[in-house]
Amino acid sequence: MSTLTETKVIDQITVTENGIVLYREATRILKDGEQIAQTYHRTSLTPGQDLTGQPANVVAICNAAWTEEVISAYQAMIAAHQDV
Amino acid sequence: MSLILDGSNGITFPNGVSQSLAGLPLTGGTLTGALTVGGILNTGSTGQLQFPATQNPSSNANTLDDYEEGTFTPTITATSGSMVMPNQQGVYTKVGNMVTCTFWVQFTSSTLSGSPVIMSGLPFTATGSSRPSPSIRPSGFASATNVIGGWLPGGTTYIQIQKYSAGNTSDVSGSDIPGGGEYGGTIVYMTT
Repeated sequence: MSTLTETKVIDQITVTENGIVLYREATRILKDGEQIAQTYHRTSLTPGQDLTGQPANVVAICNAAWTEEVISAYQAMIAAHQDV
Repeated sequence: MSLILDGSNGITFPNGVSQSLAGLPLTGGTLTGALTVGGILNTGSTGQLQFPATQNPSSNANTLDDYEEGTFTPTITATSGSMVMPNQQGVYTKVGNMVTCTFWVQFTSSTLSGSPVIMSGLPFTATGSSRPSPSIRPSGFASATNVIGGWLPGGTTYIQIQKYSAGNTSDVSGSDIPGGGEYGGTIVYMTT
């Protein structure tokens, strides 16, 4: 009898120049240990945003990337976009 | 190394030798060099073209280098306050550097204040400064608020929701969202 299992893994994490952290979670369906299907869910996190509930490895990268300077610059960029 | 498949001449190998396709046991294998197809590319009964899970980016304007489908979680926020959002659904398809997203956020109450109100969580950062705008179906905004799609600033992953009045656009603020409603739509934009 075949065994179906589901695994979730963060298979991509990208930090953009302005500090946005993008990560991709792959959900893999395995049949007897061999992958038969895969779906993706992407998340983007902006400098300074609340990280509650985010994966620990993503949080670590955000905390390293989001210096005060990066957060300030990102907030300034948002402010520059107002009412344009 | 390159291998050339041509409908008229069969296979041309790197040493220049040509051979007819008939009778060759072409049932599998991996070609690591360039493959030039001189005729129609027929993928047979599978009908599929598979790209690697991680993009192999090309700077050639005539090269398709990525394909991906997936989901994302759109979230509406403002400078302060919050929303109760029982439904946050987003799906995307990326073909090359073009991303198409459809999204739907349903909210049942809001304490948002300040502006801009944004819908964040898009799956890829936008490139360029062309200000792509979504087509939307808003509901639940203040009656005097003629909400339009808004725009997606370059280098970001959010749509800045805007309204229209007397020939001008301006940002939606939290006070424009008194209670429950929806913000759904589609946006197409460029990424890397």
